[in-house]
Amino acid sequence: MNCMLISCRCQFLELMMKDLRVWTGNVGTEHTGSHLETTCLNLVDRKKARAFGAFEVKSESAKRQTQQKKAGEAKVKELQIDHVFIETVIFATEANLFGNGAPKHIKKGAAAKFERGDRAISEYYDNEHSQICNPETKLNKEALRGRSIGVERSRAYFDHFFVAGEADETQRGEKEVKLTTIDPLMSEADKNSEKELERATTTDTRILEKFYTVQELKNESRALSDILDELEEYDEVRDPPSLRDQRKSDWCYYLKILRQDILRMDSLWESRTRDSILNDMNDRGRENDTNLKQALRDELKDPFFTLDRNEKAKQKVYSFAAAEEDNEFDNGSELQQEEEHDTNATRIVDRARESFGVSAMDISFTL
Amino acid sequence: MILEIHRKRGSLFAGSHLEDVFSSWRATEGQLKWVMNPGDPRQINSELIMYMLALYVVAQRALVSMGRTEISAADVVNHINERAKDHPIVKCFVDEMRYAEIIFMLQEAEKKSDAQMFISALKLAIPLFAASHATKYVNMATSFLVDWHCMSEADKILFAEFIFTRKTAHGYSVFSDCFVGNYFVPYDVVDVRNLKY
Repeated sequence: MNCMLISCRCQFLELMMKDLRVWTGNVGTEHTGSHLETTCLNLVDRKKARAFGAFEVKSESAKRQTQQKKAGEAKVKELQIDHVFIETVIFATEANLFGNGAPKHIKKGAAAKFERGDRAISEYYDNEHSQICNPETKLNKEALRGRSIGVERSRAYFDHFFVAGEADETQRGEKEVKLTTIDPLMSEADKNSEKELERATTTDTRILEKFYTVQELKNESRALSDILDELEEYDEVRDPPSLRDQRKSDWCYYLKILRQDILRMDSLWESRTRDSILNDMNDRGRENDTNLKQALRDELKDPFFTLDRNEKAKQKVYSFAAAEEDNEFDNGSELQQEEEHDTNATRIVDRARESFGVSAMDISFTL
Repeated sequence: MILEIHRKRGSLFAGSHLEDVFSSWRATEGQLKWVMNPGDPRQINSELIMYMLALYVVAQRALVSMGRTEISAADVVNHINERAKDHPIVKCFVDEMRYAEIIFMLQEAEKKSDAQMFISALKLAIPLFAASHATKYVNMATSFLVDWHCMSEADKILFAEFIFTRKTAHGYSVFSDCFVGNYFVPYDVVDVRNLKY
């Protein structure tokens, strides 16, 4: 029985390779990879067109569209799936955009360059807002409120120029209503604030060394030393590093000792310093981490995002076989959909990775 | 209008995630610029459809992998929104997907010659223009909406039936202002230019 199955599988494989070679040829070129992907994804349609003629297939599709039109259904245009679709599916899946758990930073580039699972760099931490492929590049949190900022600005524009202003006024400067582009990347001021927030109260010498220059360390130490000297109960004597021995690490250690002292003497110093930096950030209208989630929730209440849909009962519901794990679904658990072409489309997506060719496991099995 | 939305969408979201995704199949800066800042909407149209479809499919698959067996389009949208509440990067995707939907709405409005759909899409697009320094488009769109509000019912019908779109020789509807482009030139400008004096 097993031999028969293996034999059938071998035959199927051979036939499939034969079909693929009809469209991709035997000689590899620069574009063979993407050509092969597209051919694999649309193999069934192409074979059908080859067997029955493209005209027949098209007329069949046209007939279906006419039926849909008669039945009052929305017209559906059939498109062939291409490499853009499959690359995006792989990117979004590997970055875990919509799955369980935090999204992941992944390496940039075509999926074919990477083995499955080798692409992930790290997971996003809570409230992190940085590029997917470059965790070091922080993004502007103001951009997350882009929609509401746009709505506020357009209202202000309307009020200023159409309600209060002259309708015929052709000169419309931006002094009155700001329409500047929201930069997707974090601004320099924000970067500095983030950096300041991280370095301002820490006693970790690694962070001090990373975020301070020697001159900044000297200034910070001097300022802190002055604050400590003013405290009556402080009687420690901390000498700064000698002039001969002015290595950065020595200044970091000196600042660390001073900070430990001030944290011991004044328990509110840390919270006071952080609050002052956060206030500076808020004064510039930036979101800080503490209210970022709330801002996101408020923004997403807009009907622009919710689509204001209370008509679920009227929506078409698709039934899927439950998958206990992702892998089980990937390995081809059957989908039971209402329409045949939907089933085909979803199945193609599910087996997208495998349909680049035959996976290593299958080859070893058939050999 | 559609071109400007493509461009502004590119300028707002290229840095956050679009370049990362599109660099999976576009390897150079020039190739990315071709779609992030297109000179013609057709440069990005086909890729945008596949890109959007893929994102919805991934969200749908995520729901299935969580054990959901009965799924509607509303569930998929809700699921994406729920993820966006907790993860800022997903919120960027949601924003950008909505603006892509506006482009689809405008294309649909053109195809169906549906003035009401065009007005709805325009209302949704103005905040994008206002957040991305499209000063002329903010002005133009706001003025047009004011005009639309002031139009009589008869004017609205005239606009929808005779001004909003025009029919090509093959029976397709196209925006009236596009009718001078290469695509529709044979019936307008080229005929005039070919006149021999």
